[in-house]
Parts: sequence; structure tokens; C-alpha cells
Amino acid sequence: MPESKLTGTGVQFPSIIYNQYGGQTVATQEQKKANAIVKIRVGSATTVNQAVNGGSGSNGYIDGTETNMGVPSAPNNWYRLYFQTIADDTTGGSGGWGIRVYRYTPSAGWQYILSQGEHASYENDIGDWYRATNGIFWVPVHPSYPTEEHRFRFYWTKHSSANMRINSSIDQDLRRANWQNNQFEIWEVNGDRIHSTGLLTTY
Amino acid sequence: MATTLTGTGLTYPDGSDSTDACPIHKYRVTSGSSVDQGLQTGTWDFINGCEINMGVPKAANNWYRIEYYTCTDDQGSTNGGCGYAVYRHTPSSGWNRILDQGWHSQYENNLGDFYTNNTGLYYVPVHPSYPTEAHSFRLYGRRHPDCAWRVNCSIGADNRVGGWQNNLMEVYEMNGDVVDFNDRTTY
Repeated sequence: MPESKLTGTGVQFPSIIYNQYGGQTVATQEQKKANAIVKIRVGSATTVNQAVNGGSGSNGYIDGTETNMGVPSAPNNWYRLYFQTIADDTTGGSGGWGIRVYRYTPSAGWQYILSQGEHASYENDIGDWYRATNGIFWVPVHPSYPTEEHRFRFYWTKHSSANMRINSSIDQDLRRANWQNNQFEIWEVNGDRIHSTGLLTTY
Repeated sequence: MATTLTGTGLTYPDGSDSTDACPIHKYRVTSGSSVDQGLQTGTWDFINGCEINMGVPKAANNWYRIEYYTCTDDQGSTNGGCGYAVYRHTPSSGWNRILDQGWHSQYENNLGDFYTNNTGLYYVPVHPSYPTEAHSFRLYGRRHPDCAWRVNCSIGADNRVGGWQNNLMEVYEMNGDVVDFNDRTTY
């Protein structure tokens, strides 16, 4: 097998690239820029049927979602956070919930930084309703503490009277190996490679 | 500037640096092929076309990230819902149901006409007993209790072209040396 080698414009790998129609495009591949994704850490919230209860504005930590991403590799990097869970209303009444994101560095402490709002996923007393609730968030490296480790957590917040559960157990589900009908992932993304449309700022 | 090896990695001509191997090895994508496919009660239905062969994994400790979404609609007049399961195949193990949201992870209580997006996100390990075999993945759906459901819906003013049928299935092979998992075990 041929060896990888440095070229004038990048790194050439001996792997074959196949195109989307199943054919071979080229016999080698050349990487000309750094990886867009620096690091990925994933997990699953730990508490099955975690209660999302209380009146409007109630909120709480989603157990098991704290993730230590370490020190970012560059101050202009970003984090892409994604959380998905199966949610269910457990009582009558109208109500809903949403996902919050918290960021931590040793100097900043835990900071509430983004939220979908307390009824981003909401129903008006329609009876039993199950749904996947999703959130995707892009969060910058802390501009004041880029050399410190960064941690993240997901929280819930709710609205009105109906109580809910998340990470739901459901007939015929197959929850195993600590996958509890939810999935979160955090990607550290190379700020030299990812560009927003210019509307996202740091905080 | 030429690409250069540094003490900690590579610097490319555009000035960007890589200090780790790429977290994502391979990315394959498809779209379920049957528009308005109905889901059954009591059986897991293969969502036609949602099979992806990822080939032999690069390493035994790699994982696969599988994501699916589809536009759905209830076609019956009772309460009901559906859910999605991931199946994994290697030649020695055959097809195995390995993760499942449950058969009414997305459900409504006789609301009348109800359209929504159904989604699923899963991380699945390389088969611990057959890491040198080709791995394929499928998505299955099942409804509960008996309200008719269709997935991959045709909807007024949609624009389904190029084999995209109002749904998408993605599979990534993830580098197990770079991607860290929080208390996940293999199976």
C-alpha cells in the first residue's frame, strides 16, 4: 500500500474515494486544510423518565449531561451542541418545555448562556402527546478565558401546568449500554474552518 | 506556504492547524425511497431504501452516528403514534435490532389531521465480535396502537427531487480514538 506523503498543498492519503453513485472517484485523497471538527464528546442523559414538573419558569439540570471538553485548541473555536430526547406530557393541562445550555470555565463559573424558551415544545391540553424534542446550539469559546477548560450542561425549563417527562421509557423501546432514549453530543469546531454568516457573535 | 509538519501536527497552506486525527472517517447518506410509506401495527417495517453499507470499519473501537428524520402524517381517526429502531448487520451476526425509541415515541391523542417531523439520533458501536466485517445499518418503523401513519410524506407544495423523498438518513463512522463517550459500552 502506498504511504501518506506531504505535498506542496496538503497531505496525500492512499485511501480511495468513492463517489455518491458507488464508483471510484480518485485513487488517493488529498487533505488541503485542517479538520473542521477538532473534538467530539457524546453521551446520554442518565435518568429515565426524568420529571419536568412545576409551574412556569421551573427549571433543572438534565442529569448526566455535563461534559468536559477540555481546553479549546484555539480561542476562535466554537462548540456545536446537540441534544435530542423523547418527551411526554404526564398530566392534563396545557404546557411545554424547552432546552437550556450552560457553559463553565473555572474563572467564569457556570453561566446560563442560551435557551429555547420555556415552551419551545408546547401543547394546549391535547391529551397524551409524545414527541422528540431537539435543540442545536452553537456556542463560542469564552472570549475572556480561552485558555481554560470548557464544560457544558443541558437544562430543562417549562411553562404552565402540564407536567412532563423526558428520556422516556416507552413500550418496545430498546434502551441499552446507557443509552436512555436521548442523545447529546458536543463538537469542538475549528474556528479557522467554520464561518457563520456573520450574525453570530461571541459572549 | 507549503504544508508543514510541526512538532504537534500539521499546518496547511491556508494557515489552519490539525493536531488530531479527523473525528469523522466516513459519511454516507440516503433517503427512504417509498413516498407515503405506511407503517404497520405489531411488526417492524423496514423503511424502504434506508439501508446503508458502511463497509469494514477502520478500527474496532469506532462508533457510528446515525440520524434520521422524516415528515409524517396520521391517516386514521384514532389516537396513535410510531417510533424508529436501528438495525445493524454484519455477515456473521445477521440483522439485529440494537436500539429502539419505542413504538409510540411520537404520538398524538386523536387530534385530527396531524403532520410533524419525526427524528432519531443514535450512536452505535462497531460489533464487538465482528469488527473486521462490513457493517450495514437500517431504519425500521412501527406504529401503535393502530392509527394509520405514513412516513416520507408527499405534501402540497413540496419539492422532492433527486431521490430526496421528504426524509434523510445519515451514517457517520466516528474515530473511536478521537471521539469520547460518556459511559457507553459496546454490544
